[in-house]
Amino acid sequence: MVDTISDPSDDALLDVEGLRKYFPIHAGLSRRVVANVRAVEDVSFAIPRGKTLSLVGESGCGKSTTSRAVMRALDVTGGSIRFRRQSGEVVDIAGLSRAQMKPLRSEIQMVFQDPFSSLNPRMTVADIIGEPLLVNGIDKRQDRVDRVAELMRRVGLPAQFMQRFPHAFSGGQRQRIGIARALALNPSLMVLDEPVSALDVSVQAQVLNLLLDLQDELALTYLFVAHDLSVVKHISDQVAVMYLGSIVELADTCALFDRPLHPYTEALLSAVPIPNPRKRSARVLLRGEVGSPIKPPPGCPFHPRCAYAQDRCRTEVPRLERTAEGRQVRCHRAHELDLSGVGSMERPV
Amino acid sequence: MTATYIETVGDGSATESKVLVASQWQLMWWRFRKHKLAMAGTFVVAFFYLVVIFADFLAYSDPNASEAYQALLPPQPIHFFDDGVFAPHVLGMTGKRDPQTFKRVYAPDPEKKVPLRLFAEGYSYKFLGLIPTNRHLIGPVGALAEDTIFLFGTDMQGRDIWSRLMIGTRTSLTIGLAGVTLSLLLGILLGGISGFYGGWIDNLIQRSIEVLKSIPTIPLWMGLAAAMPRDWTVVQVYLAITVIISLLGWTELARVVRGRFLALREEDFVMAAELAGCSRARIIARHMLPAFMSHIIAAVTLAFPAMIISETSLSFLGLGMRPPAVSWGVLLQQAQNVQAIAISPWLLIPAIPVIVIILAFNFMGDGMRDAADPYG
Amino acid sequence: MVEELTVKHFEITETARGPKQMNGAPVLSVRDLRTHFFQDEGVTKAVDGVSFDVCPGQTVGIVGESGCGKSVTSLSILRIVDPPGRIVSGKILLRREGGGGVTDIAALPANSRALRDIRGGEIGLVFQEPMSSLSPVHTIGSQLMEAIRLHTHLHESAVRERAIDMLRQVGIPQPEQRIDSYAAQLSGGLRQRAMIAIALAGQPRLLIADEPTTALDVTTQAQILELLRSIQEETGMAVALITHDIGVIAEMCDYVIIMYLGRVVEQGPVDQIFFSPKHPYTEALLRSVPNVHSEPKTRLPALAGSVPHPLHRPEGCPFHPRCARFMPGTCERSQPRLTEVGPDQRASCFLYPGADHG
Repeated sequence: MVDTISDPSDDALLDVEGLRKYFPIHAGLSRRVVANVRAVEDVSFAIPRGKTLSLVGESGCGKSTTSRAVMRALDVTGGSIRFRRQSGEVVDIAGLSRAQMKPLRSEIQMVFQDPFSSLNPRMTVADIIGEPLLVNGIDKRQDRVDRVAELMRRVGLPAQFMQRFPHAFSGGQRQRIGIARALALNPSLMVLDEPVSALDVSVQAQVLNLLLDLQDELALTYLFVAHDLSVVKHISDQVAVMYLGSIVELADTCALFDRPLHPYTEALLSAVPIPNPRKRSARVLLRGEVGSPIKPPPGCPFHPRCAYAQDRCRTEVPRLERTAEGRQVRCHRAHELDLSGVGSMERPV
Repeated sequence: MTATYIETVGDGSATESKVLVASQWQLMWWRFRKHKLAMAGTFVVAFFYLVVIFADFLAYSDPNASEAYQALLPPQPIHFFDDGVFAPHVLGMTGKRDPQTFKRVYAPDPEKKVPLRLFAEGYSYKFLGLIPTNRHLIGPVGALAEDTIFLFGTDMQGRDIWSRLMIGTRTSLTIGLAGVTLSLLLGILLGGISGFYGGWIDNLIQRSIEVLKSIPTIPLWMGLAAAMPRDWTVVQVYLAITVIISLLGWTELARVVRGRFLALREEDFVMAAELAGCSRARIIARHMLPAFMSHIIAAVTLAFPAMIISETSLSFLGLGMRPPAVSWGVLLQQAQNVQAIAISPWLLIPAIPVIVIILAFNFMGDGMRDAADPYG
Repeated sequence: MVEELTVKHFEITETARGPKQMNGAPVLSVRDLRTHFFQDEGVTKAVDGVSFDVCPGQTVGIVGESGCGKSVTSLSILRIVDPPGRIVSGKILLRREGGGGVTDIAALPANSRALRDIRGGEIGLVFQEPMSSLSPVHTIGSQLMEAIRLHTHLHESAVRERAIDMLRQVGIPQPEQRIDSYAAQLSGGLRQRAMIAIALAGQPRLLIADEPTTALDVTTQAQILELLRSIQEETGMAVALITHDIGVIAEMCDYVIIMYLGRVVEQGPVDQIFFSPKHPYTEALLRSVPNVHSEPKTRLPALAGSVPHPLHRPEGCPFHPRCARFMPGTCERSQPRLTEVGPDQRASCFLYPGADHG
């Protein structure tokens, strides 16, 4: 599990290369495009089969847009999304049409953030979990009922609650229903969009445990989107930190938390409150505000807030560089800075 | 929220409750039931539509039979006892001319008792439009020519207001129903297209709605009514009025439908259905339509009063239903004259059901709107 | 089953957090507060017997999961609970400035002048979502100046000066320009800063912060927490912090109250709560929180089950169906009393003598 990132091209289940997603801003009667919101700008990552990659970052950094682009819930502006099908064939799904995507849908599934709005309140749990089965050709009712019961047991819900409506379940239980629905078609890739952030603390842990168990049993590959770094630490093999639409750093989980290479990662880690009253993080407080994705700052998009910025950072856009240990970082000064990780930044109060 | 959770996972010892397996409609009904005013409104509306169904049965004299010598008779209250014996009757009226004002004044004549009975014979009609009969709920015993009753008095032409009110209720409330149905169809169709396809179609429909809504209604009605040929039959006029009022009424419904469509398109469960591989038709039929049916029903209920008011005001202004048709607006035309009201206030009686039904529909609609989203 | 409440004024001793200036008597003492919601479906006991003190310079944290009553507690203190909720019993004692005696906020008539003077005057309030608590049609400056005029006696010409000063104090850059912006023109972090400035306008002695950073990003959260801490150091005001985030509690608070379904399960100094929790719920809750030090891809020690709907609070100890140390025959029979379990630390659990009525 601590192996370094292997060359993404061979055994990766998902290989995203140079992904871009712009949202045009229209103005006037002619609906002319006056500007673009660069929600995702040149994002590349690969997830090996059975592993978890987390996208972290603050609101508006493009992590959710990236995940939705991978799901092809929206059209992408550029780049490629190579997905290895269960048949072994590798498809670039970035350019596929709605109809072309349909046969692939069963292999890529999603768990949503909000356990309330993601389940149709007018359908019973059996119908919700059974719908993917029904529309994908499992016509016999009894077959579906059996499969739904099996799925419910697998996610830790008693199968006798099948005929109930979602309103009878608590947030954590609804999230289990959402997971069961996603599992129905035996996907190989699961996109988990903040799946625990709407849950109570005590329930978060249950759902995280369930996700870990399912990955073990079913060899699932997760693309996990989250803003909570503590949760990310628990679930991920690799972490990609995003800022203003691009990945600023990508590394194995422990490496990234212990020894960040990008100043933004350092600031993000230092901001996490430590659940120990005797310790406090030596904060790297960021100056100012996140720049605009319509008109990002010139040079490195993070430079106006960066404590280590130099002249070069203000003019030249840094490239995503690969280090010797197989990490990736987008910073001109990555090799010379010595940044603190979660271990070294804590001070006794 | 009526929600209650299954207490624990896994051990199956959950407290069974009917709430847990209740469907959307059951939850809505439970919530609606708690709304006292809405329940009262519903009963009133149901009562009025019973009147619509049994209008001829409830009337007791031909609504168009006029007797000039009986013009502007005051209402005759029913007396249930005659010298302590149960014998429902009304007192006949004797008219005298006031020597000072030269107006006819009527006074009940205790000598002239007109006995009443249930299921009395009267004019002939078809019960529920099918069974020919001449029985009516009440009427004077024997139905002699000179034995007449006027529970709500008579109008200027000496026609019985009670009977005309029953028939008028039928006209006004069915026009409301037909108008709402027509605007509902238009509203769902155009609102659905607008919300589902978006883009320039949406723009076009929305701008048309704005244009339609910005036209002042009374001049528009006058124009349309003037365009209606004078020699049209009652049925033709009836249909034309329905079309006129629903042409204006669909806009609000279209907006509701469009708004719900737009909101639902963003819902996670709709996206989940898409990811599961559902077809567009299935998403609309299974996920979107059921989600806003309840809102539509509430909006329709709230559209009724506008329809009824439209018909009533059109007819009141002489632009809508015309005699010999009878509707609430036609009845209220009699009350256009202040002097007539001062002398014969019972001419205003047809205004009471208008007020009552509109309040009832509004209460019912409010309750439905509150209950429409049982999930908060 | 009425509990005799014998909670006295807690002596605040030095904790492991280090010496802190906690001069004198508590600013606010809540005693056996009960706020219930009377709905058609039944009575929800949102807050059911909560007692605590907040001293000057001290930060008291109220923590718990959804439906535990932490927010209703803060709304009750300000008397802004909406019907069908209402305070059914208890005292909310506010020690007035300069030896002005003690006022029971719970006993003041609703909408009274005295109550309005306290809100925004002696007690400031910061909400979770600044967008909905700031007016969208007034500039933040005009809202701030309004608050300053209401609670101070500054000359009109000085009010704007003071407002700009306050915006600077809460770390809003270019306050001279930002004073004329509308809430929608500011980022989430700046809006929360503006909200804090408004809360501070009346120079409150107690600030109630109800999930002040929940809607914010983690780096912004760090800034806002830092700001609250520095303001507290300068002014010595008391802070009541309501949150669900254990990390924020550990970082900010001196004293912690843990609630579950309307009841206090445990309260005590932050160090004791974290290093020697007595109630099984506290223990389990603290263990189940993921943290940045844990080994990746390991199972968390999770708490079983989920929080029941507040309307269906289990009989006896509300936590008993999920409790690992459930004692049949005891826990589901009656509610445990809050009892002394350590210096200044109280827990309501039958594991400890004194929790039953004997």
